Amino acid sequence: VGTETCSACHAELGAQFQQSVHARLAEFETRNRTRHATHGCESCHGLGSKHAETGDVALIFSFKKEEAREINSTCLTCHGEKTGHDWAGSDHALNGMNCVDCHRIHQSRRTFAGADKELGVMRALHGNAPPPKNSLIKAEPQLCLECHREKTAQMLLTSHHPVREGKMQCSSCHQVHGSPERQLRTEERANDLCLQCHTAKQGPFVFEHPPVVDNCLTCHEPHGTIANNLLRQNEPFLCLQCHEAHFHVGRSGATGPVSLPSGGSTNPYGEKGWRTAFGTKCSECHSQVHGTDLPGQSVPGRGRSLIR
Amino acid sequence: MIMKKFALARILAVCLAVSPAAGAQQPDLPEKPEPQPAPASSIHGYVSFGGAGTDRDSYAGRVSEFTAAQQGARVVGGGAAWGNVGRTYFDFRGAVGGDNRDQDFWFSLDAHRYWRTTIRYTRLPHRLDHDPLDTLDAAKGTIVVRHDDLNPGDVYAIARGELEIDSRFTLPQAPNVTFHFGFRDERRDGHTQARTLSKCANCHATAQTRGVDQVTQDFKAGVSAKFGRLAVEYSYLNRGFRERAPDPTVVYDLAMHPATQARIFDNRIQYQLADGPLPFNHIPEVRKASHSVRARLEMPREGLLNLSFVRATAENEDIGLDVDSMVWSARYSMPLGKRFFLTARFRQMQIQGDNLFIDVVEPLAIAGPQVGQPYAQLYPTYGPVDWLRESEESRRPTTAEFDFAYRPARRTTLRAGYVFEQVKRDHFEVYETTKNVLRLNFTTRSANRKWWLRTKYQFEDINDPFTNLNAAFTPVIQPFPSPGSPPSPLLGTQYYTLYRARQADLTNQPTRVHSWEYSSTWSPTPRFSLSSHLRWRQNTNDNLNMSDWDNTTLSPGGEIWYAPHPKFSVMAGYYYLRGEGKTLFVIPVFDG
Repeated sequence: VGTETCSACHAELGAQFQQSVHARLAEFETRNRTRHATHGCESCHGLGSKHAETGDVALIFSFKKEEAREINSTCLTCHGEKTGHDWAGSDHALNGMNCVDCHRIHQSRRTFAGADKELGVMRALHGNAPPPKNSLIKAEPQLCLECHREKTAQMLLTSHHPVREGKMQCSSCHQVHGSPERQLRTEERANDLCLQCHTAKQGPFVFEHPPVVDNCLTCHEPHGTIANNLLRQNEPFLCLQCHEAHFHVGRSGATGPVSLPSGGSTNPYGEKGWRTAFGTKCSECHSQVHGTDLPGQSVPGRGRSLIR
Repeated sequence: MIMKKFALARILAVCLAVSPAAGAQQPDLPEKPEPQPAPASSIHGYVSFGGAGTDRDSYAGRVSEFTAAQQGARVVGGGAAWGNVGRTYFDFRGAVGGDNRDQDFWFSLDAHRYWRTTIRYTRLPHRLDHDPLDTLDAAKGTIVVRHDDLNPGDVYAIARGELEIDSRFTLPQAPNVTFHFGFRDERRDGHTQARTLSKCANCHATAQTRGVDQVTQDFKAGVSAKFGRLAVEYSYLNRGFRERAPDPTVVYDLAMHPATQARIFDNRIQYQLADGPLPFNHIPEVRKASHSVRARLEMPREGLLNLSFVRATAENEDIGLDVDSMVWSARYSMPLGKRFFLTARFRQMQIQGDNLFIDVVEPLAIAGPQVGQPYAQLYPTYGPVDWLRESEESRRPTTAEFDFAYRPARRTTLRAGYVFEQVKRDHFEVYETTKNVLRLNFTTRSANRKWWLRTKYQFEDINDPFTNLNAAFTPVIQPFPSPGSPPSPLLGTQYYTLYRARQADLTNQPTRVHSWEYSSTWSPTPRFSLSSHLRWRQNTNDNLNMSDWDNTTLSPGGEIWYAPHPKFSVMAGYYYLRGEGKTLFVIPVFDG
C-alpha cells in the first residue's frame, strides 16, 4: 500500500520514520533481502493492504507484539552479515532480548533529545557524554545499566574506567551483539581486548610476569574497584596472595640511631620500620610488574626481579 | 580533600534551525522498486554553552581521575549540526569541557549509501599518582633502605586522545559486497613517575619523572559479502605502538657490603656504578598484525552456523620477540520447537611465543675471599646462571559450551548452560587448568517496560588453577630456628638454597566458585523508577598444599530516581560492598 497509506493513520510514526536512517536506504541495500517490499514501512512490517482495509492489528507484523525470535529474524534479514553476524547464540539473544529492546527504529534526532531528559544523574553531571547513536533508545551506559544494575555500583567505585565521565562506553569493550569471546570486542583472548588501548603492556617482554600473560583479570577488575589502578585488592595484599613477603618484614631491629642522607640520626619508625618499608607497596621497587626487557641487577636472580 | 563543584549552569541549547524541518516531502511510493527522488536538502543545528568550576584544596586525582577539574571556573560548550544535501547526509556533534584535555567530537557522513564514514575523536585527562616513596625511609639502620625522589614536586598526568575513522563502501552493482576501512590513532602525552632499584649496597629506590609520548596506530581493512545463505567477512589489522619519549636513565649504586662497605659483592651484580647511566622503564616498540575470517551459514530448520578464524602476530620490535596465535571457533544455534533454543560452541586457540637465551652478565669479585670468581663458580650448586627464557604465554586454550534456553512466556527466559574450559600451558609449572561451569539465568520483563528482573547463578569447578608453585615457606620449614628448637639446616645458606626449599603453593585463584547476580527495576511511570540489585561471589580454594584461600564479595544496592520535570531529575542510591578474604601470608623469619 506504500508508506503514504500507512502515514495517513500513523502520522507521527510516519514523520519520525522519514527522519530515521531506514528512510534513507537505497534500493540496492534491500534488493533480494526484505520479505515484502524494498522500501518503506512494509519492508519490515509486511504487506499492509489487509491491515489498512480493516484496521485489524492482527493483520500486520507488529514489533510490539511479536516474539523476540520473529522480531530479530526481521532485522537480521539485512543486518545478519554485519552487526548481527554473531547474534545467534549470544547472551542477549539467549536471554530473549530482541532488537527493539534497545533500538528504536522510528526515532529521529528530536526524539533523542527527549530521551536525554530521562537519563539519570550521571548524564546531568557530565553533559558532554555522547548522545545516543545507532538508533538506541537511550545513551550508553544508561541503556545497559537499566538491566545490569549491579554494574552501576561498581562503576561508582573510586577506581574505574572513564565510563561515567562519558569517555568510554560499555560497548567500548563489550560486543552486545555477540562475539566469539564472551561478549567482548575481540575474537582473541580478553587480554587482547585490554591491549588494544593499553598497548604499552603488549610485549612480549623478555622478563615476563606469569599472571600478566595468563589473564589481566587475575589482578584487575575492569568494572571498578576500591583499590587504585582497578586492582582487585590493594598492595601488598594482592601480591602476597601469590608471593611470600621479603624476610625483612620479620626483622625487628633498626631502632637505634642511624645516619641518614637527610642528616637525621634517629629512625622515626622504630621497630616497625622494616615492616613499613617492605610491607607497604611491592611496586615501589618491583615497578615493572607487567614485564620488562631490562634485567634486574642480581646475578643469582637471573635478572627476573622486574625492578628496571 | 574537599572538592566543590559550583556554577554548573548549563545555558541550554540555542537552537539554530537553519532550514525548514527535516520532514522532507516524499513522493508517492511506487509498487515496484524504483529510484526514489532525492529528498529536499536541510541543515539543522544547535550550540550550547555554560560554565563549570572547581574549588579544591588538594590533589585532584583522588576524586576526579578523568575529569578536567582544574582549579577555578571554565567555559564549557557543545554543539551539533545535522542534515542532508540531496542523498548525502551528515551528522556532527561536539563538546568541549573548558580544557583542551576534555573534548568529544563525532561526525558521520553518508553519501548516497555507497560510502559511509564515521569519525570520532575524544580526549580526556588522566591524573596519575606520585608516590613519594617515603615509606622506604622507614627501615634505615645498619642496613640501609632509602629512596631518592628526584622530582618531588612534579604532578603526574597524561592526556589521552583517540581518533577513529571507519568507512564502508558498497558498489550498487554488487550490493552483496561491502568494503570497510578503518584507522585509529591513540596518543598519550604527559608525564609519569618511573622507578627503579639498586640492590647493593642497600635497597635504594630511585624515582624520577619520565615523559610519556605514546602513539598507537591501527590500520584496518576488510570486505564482507553475502552469497545466498552464506555471509563471510575478512578483516586485516596492522597495529603499531611506539613510545617516543626517551627512556629515563640512572646511575646504579656501587656494589659493596652494606655493613663493612667492602666490595665483596661485585660478582652478584650485573651492572653498577662503573657502568654509568643506564636506561630503565623502557617501553618497547610493538607491532601486531592479524587476519580474521568469519563466516555465517544459514542451515535448515532455522539453524545458524558461525565459523571464525584469526591468525595474529605480536612482535616486540626492539628485541625481535614474537608471539603468534591462531584461534578457531565454531558455534551452532538452532531453535527446538517454538520455545526451546540450543547453542553449542567450540573454540580452540594456540599461542606460541618465542624462546630466548638469556646470557646473564657474570662479573668477577674484586675483593674478599671470592676475588676473581664469578658467582656460579663460587656456588656450583646454584647451577648455570644463564638460562633459556621460555615463553610463559605459550598455551592452548580450548572451550566447549552448550546453552539451552526455554521461554515459558513472552519476555521470560530460563537458561541453563555448561562450559568446559581447558588451558594447556607449554612452559609454565601449572601445565593444565580445567574448568567446568554450570550456570542458570532467569530473565523476565513486562512488555511496557514497567518492570524487569534478571538473575543469574553460576557454579565453577576448577582443577589446578593458575598458581605460584613452591612460593613460600611453611611452618614446617623454618629457615631460622624457633627458641629452643634445633638449628635449621638452612641457617647460613645462600638465598637460592632458601628459595628452593619453599614448599607452599600460593594463588588468588579459586577451585570452586558460587556467584549470584540479581537486578530488578520497577518503573510505573516514565518519571519514576525504583531499582535493587545484588552481586555475591564466593571463591574458595581448598586444594592448595599448605593452606586454604577464599574470597567472598557481597554487594547489594538500590536506587530511586524521580524526574518531577523533564529538565530536572534526582537520583539517590545506596551501595554496600563487603569483601572478605583468607590467604596464607608468609613472612620467613630470617636474618639475611
